[in-house]
Amino acid sequence: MALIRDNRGALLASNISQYLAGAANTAGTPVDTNELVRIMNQFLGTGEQISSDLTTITNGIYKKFGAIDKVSNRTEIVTSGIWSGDLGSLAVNSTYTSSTQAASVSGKYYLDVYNDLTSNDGAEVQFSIAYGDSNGYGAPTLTQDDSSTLSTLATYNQYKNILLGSGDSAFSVYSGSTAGAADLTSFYVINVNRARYKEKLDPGNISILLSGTSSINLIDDSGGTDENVTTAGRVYNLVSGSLNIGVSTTATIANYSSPVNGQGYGLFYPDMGIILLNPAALQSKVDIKLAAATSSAANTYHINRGSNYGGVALLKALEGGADFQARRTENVSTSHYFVRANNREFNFSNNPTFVTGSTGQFVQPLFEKDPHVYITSVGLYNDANELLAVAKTSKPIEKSFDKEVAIKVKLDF
Amino acid sequence: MGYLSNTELTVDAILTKKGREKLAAGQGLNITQFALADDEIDYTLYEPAHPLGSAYYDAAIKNMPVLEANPDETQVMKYKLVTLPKNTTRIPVVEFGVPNISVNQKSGEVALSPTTSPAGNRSLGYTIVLSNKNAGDIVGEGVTSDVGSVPVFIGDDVSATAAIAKGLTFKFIPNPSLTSTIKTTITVYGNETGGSQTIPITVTYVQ
Repeated sequence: MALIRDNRGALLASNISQYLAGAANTAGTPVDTNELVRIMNQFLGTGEQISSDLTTITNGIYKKFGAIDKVSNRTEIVTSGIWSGDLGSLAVNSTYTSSTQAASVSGKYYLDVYNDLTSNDGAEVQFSIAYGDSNGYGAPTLTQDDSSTLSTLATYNQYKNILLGSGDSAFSVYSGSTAGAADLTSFYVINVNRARYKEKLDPGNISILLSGTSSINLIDDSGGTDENVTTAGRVYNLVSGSLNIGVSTTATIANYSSPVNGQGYGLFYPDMGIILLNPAALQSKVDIKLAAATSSAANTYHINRGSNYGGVALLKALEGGADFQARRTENVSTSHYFVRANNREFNFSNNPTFVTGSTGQFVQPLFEKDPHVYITSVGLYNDANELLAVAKTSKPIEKSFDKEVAIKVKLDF
Repeated sequence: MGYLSNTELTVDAILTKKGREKLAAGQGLNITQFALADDEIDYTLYEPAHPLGSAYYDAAIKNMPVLEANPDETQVMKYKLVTLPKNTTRIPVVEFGVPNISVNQKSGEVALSPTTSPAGNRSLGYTIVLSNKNAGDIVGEGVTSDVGSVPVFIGDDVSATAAIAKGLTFKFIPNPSLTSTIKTTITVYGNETGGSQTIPITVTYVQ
C-alpha cells in the first residue's frame, strides 16, 4: 500500500485542491475523474498506480483492459511427468515393443518401447533403446556381411558427434571416485521420445530402477555436483542412490561407481533427453547379460540379440525394476488478464432466451427492475475485435447491478 | 468459526485458431479488450415461482456444468453480454426491416438500412455477412473502415465463402453473372449492442 506523506503528501493535496477549485470556478465543467487519477498517479510508484479505466463505464459488448489489468509475458517453469498421460512413473513391459519395427532395418539400430501393447489404441512410443560401440562390436562387419551398415559403430559416432565436443573422442565416466577418468567404448542409450520430454528433462528428478540377478537404482548427481554445461547442454553422472521423494529434500547417493569394476554407471543429458548407460558397470551390478558386445558376427545385433542379451536384457532389467521415473520441465510464457466487470456493466444479454417476442422484451418480467445474467465465457480480443483467446468458467457466474465480477484469465503459450 | 471459501475466479484461456495464426506469423497477440458471453445459458430456466424461494430462482442455471472452451472462434462467444443503462426494459433488437430478400440477378442494387430498436449502433454501425459471396456483393457506408469490426469473429472458413461489410447503410448488388439461382442467408450484427438478425436471401437466375 502506498504511503504518501510529508512534503509529497502536502503537494498532492494541494494539486487536487487546485484542480477541484478550478473545476468549480468554471461553469459547466464537470470534475474529470481521469484527471484526478492522473494527478494521483504522479505520486504513486509503478505497480501502485490507479487505472483510470476503473472509473470508466464501458458501453456495448467490449471493454478495454486498463494498464493494471494485464500482466504480460511472464515466464513460468512448469514441470510434469514425462510419460503418456503426464505420468511420472513408467512400469516398463518388455512386450510393449513393435515386432514390425524390431524386424525392420531400424531394428538393427534401436528398439522402440511403448506404454502399451502396440495393438491397443493409445499405445505411444515412450523411449527408444540403442547400443553403440566404438569398435563396431555387436553388429556384423563388412567382411561378415557385405550389406552390413555397421549399426553399432554408426550409433556410437552419431551420439559422439551430437553430445561431445569436436576434440573429444570418447564419453567419460567415473573411475572410482574420480569423475571423467574412465572412457566408455560402448554404451546403451535410452533416448526419450521428444513428444514426451518436450523441452528438457528435469535433473534431480530421474530415477531408473534396474533389476536382473541383482538390482540397482540410478539417479543423476545434479544435487551433489556443480553444473557441468557442455556443447550438448548440461551433463550429469548417473550414480546409484535414491531421490528420497516424500522423505527428504535431498537425494542420497550410494555410489558414484560400481564397487565391482570401479566404473561409473553412465551419463545423463537432460537438455537432449538422452541417458547413456555403461554396460561394464551394469553387468557387474544388474545382470551379466547386459555386458558389452566383445565381437562381431553375421546376423547378430547386440541391440536385438534375443535370448535376453544386450538391448533386450536392458529392456528386461527395466521391466524387472518396474519403476522408471522422470519429469520434464518447460519454460512457459504466461500472461494474466484481470477481467473486471463493475456493477453497472454487462448486466444484459444478447442470448435469444433472454428475450421473448420480437421487440426485445425480457423473458422474465423480474429482469426489468433487476436483470441477472450468467457468465460462462470470457473472450480476449485485439483492437480489430478478433477473438484470439477464450476461457470458460467452471460454472455460470452470476452478474447483476448489485454484483461485481473479477476474473483472472491465465493464458499460456 | 467456519472456513472461507477458497473458490477462486481464475480461469485458463486457450488460443483460438486465429490466435495461433497470429503467434505463428510472429505478429504477437496484442490483446486489448475483452467481452463476456453466456452461450450455454437458457434463461427460461430462471424460475420465479420456485417453491424454495428467491435464493433458488436461478438454481437450475447456476448449477449447470459448463462445457470446455472450443478453439474455433466461430463457435464461441456467440451471445455476448452487453452494458446498457439500468432502466433498460428491452434489449436492443437489430433488424433488417424485411423478413427476406428476393431479387433476380438483373434487379440492380438493393438498399439495406439496418435499425436498432429502441436505439444503438449509431457510431460503430453494423456488420453484414452474406454467407455466399457468389450471390452478390455487399457495400457498406457511413463508418470509417478502422472503427469497430465484427462482433462475432468471422473465421477464415466463413470468410472464404462469405462477403463482409460494415457501415450504417448498405447496398446489396446481385451478381449479374449467375448461372443458377442462389439461396443463402444474410446476417446483420450490431457492432455496439451485439444483437443480430439472419434472414434468407434469394437471387434468381434469369436468362
